[in-house]
Amino acid sequence: MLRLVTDGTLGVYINPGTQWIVISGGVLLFFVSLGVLKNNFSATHLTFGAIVLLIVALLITVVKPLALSVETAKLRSAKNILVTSDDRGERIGRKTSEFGILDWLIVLSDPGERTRYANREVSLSGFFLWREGEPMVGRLMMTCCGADAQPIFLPLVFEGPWPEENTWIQVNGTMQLSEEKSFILVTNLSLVDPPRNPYAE
Amino acid sequence: MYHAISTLERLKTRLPIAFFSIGGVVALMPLFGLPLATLPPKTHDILMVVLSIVIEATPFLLIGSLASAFVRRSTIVENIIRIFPKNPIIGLPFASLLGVFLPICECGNVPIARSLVVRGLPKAYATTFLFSAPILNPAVFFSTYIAFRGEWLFFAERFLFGFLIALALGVFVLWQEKYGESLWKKNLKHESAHSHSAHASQGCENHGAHQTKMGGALTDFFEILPLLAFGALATSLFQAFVPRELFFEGAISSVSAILLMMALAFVLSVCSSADAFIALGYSGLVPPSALLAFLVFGPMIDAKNILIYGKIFTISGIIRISTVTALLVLISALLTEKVPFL
Repeated sequence: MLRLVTDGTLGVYINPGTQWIVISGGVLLFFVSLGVLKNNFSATHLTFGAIVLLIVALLITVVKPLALSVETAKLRSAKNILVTSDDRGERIGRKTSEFGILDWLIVLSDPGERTRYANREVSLSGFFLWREGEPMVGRLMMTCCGADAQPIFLPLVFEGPWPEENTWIQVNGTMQLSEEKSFILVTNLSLVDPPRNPYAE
Repeated sequence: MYHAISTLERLKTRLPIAFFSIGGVVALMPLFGLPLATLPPKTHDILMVVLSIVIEATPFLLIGSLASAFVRRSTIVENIIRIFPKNPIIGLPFASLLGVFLPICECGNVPIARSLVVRGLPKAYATTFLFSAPILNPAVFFSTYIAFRGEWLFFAERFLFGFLIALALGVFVLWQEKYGESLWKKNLKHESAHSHSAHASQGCENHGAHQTKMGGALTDFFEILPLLAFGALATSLFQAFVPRELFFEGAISSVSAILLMMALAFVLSVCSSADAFIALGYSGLVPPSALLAFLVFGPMIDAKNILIYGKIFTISGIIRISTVTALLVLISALLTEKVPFL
């Protein structure tokens, strides 16, 4: 837990908004355990539950925390999830080059507003995947923890060679809108390292 | 009198130190530049989901255990009996809301319910309390809110149906008693006397009067933690191997999905203060009505509780109550699909 907090990888498991609960719980457990040990040390023995907790702690410590793979993202997605937001207003006035995938899906979900974003600059990163034969850039959207992470995607159109699936890419281009769908017309695609926070913000 | 401590006993008490020492060394490994293990993607994803559920849910489990231990070891029970309304029209709703003020885990409330009955509270009231307290309590409110943030209707439905179904079960007990059928065991005083003497082998029973509140809370916590980990593993494997298409595009009916989730809740037996995070893992796979069924049925009837209910209900009573509960949960879940405002 200490390591996850200090190197910032707790966010791979838990939404940043609820990390304070997890950290508080860890601190509480530590002090409760100290209190019990202090009162009754000689009677303390290892229970199955304690072994489970220890195994969990060791796994967290020794396994490299990474975001869920493309394979899992595809398995969790029957279709792109419907994204709506009451916070569309907070995106008005922001540069579209600062938008992430989630921001784009939110602003494009409003039929009355989406045309305003045609030909606007796109600069975002995500993992590359093929979905139903179409190249896409995606991220996982996490509400609470890794268990509920759902994938979100934007289609890509690009003349260059495509990278391997599950590779993280930086995409630069413009947003194109047709009657049926929106897609990114890519002018530059480069490989990047997975970010510290791999989820949609 | 000199009591020789066997080698095994000595080893048992030193094992925690040994394990934590080893754990501490391993935890420090990354600081020395030793590489972390990279697993194949599928294996990593399964593990990642398990760990995220356990990490997220553990604080809530701890809070629930602490609150439960505190209530069990205080004089609150005696005070409650004094203020309980006699009229069932007021008494049953009161019993159904009691869990808000008595945050007890679902296995911890059996001794409380038994104490209430032995001290003279009508069995119908104790039944209602028994089935509402695992859902209508602050730890569960908090964990459900965190897991399903923004889903206020879903949040409200869990507690509304928990309240109503517990109420209905109290009415069911009253109705059965009217016709001379008692679902509760007759010799509760005898059972109650025995439960304080020996070490309990089931659920979250007291392990002796010498235990402090903290010690009791940790005992409960460590007894339930393996169940949480098992539930998390089942969720992760389900997500990893069950095709999503099975649940969408009409491949499986609502009734089947609801019954499947109720069966899962029964088998997984996860504590109600943490089950919202387990349910969250199925949120993209099954309809909300099935998730609701999981979150209402599980705290009331599961494999762990059934064993503990044997201390207070007859076998026939357990079967009848379980059947009625299952039917009411199924109907409630289906109602949320058919009624527009639910």
